[in-house]
Amino acid sequence: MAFLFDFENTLINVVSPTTEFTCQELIDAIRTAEVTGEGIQYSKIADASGKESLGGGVAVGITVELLGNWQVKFWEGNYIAKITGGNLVGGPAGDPVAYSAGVQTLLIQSAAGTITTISTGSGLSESQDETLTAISNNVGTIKTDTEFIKDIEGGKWTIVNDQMVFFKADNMTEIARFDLYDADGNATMTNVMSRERL
Amino acid sequence: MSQLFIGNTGAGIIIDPSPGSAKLMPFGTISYGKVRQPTDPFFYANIELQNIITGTRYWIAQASDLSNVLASGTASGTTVNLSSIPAYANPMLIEVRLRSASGEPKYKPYKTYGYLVKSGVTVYCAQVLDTVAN
Repeated sequence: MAFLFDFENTLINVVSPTTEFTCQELIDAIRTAEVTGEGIQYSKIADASGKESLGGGVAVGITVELLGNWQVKFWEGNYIAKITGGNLVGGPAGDPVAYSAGVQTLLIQSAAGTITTISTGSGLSESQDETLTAISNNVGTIKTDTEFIKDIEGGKWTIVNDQMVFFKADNMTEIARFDLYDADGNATMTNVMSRERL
Repeated sequence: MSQLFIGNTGAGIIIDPSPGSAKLMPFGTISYGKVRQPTDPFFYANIELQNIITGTRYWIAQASDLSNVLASGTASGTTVNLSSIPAYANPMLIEVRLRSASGEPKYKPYKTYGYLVKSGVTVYCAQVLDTVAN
């Protein structure tokens, strides 16, 4: 969990080792915290706007406004903290980030921020395209395994020289060969108790 | 010596004019009743929340004293009926908070008010979709 909410002190504590988060991640966590049994006893933490579609896979950027005295506070340490993916505003005296010893915070804001969905040529978003690729790869594997099972069940098999050989439906193309063993682990063709694929 | 006497049907002072005798001087009929304490509710009434999104967490408190929570819970349907809610003013302004962000779709935090009177109060909710939070 990247955030811990201190309702008494109106602080959104960023938990180590998180050093960077997006405005989308922040507002998602805020809404989840507000709906808890503890959160509903307090006024809402933030307002958010943006994500209106501008067409062509472009949307208005996100702005998260922390209400009242709410601030984000990073864990103490010597590092550069980043808040990206939109505008974070609000807080006491317009300062949405509380002081943390040793931490330098990069807060990049834009009056015309946008969200652009990267096209992969398939007409799908990048994440959708990745998902489709993964599914396609799995289908290929399933197809290969299914064909093997079909061949095992649909073709000739024979036992010769202490081995069992399976063929495709053409009864000619070998697809698998197994060594046969008896209960003592000796090669056999008669008292077969186990097989090992070659 | 005179003594105060209180019985089932009356009260008075027993006068002892002379040793071995007594005479009751009645006050008359005394009625007994329950007195409302300053911290007791003025009355009890019902609260109804209508058009609430199923699964929404609700929280209701006295608006002038938010530490006085009147009711809280999760809506199992689109209407929530709360009975025998104590009212400490007549009428009493209540604050209603609704939060729904656990499932899909998500809704923005919602707050509204109503006056609780002896006949109750009905709050019609108008939660707004949250188009920013995922």
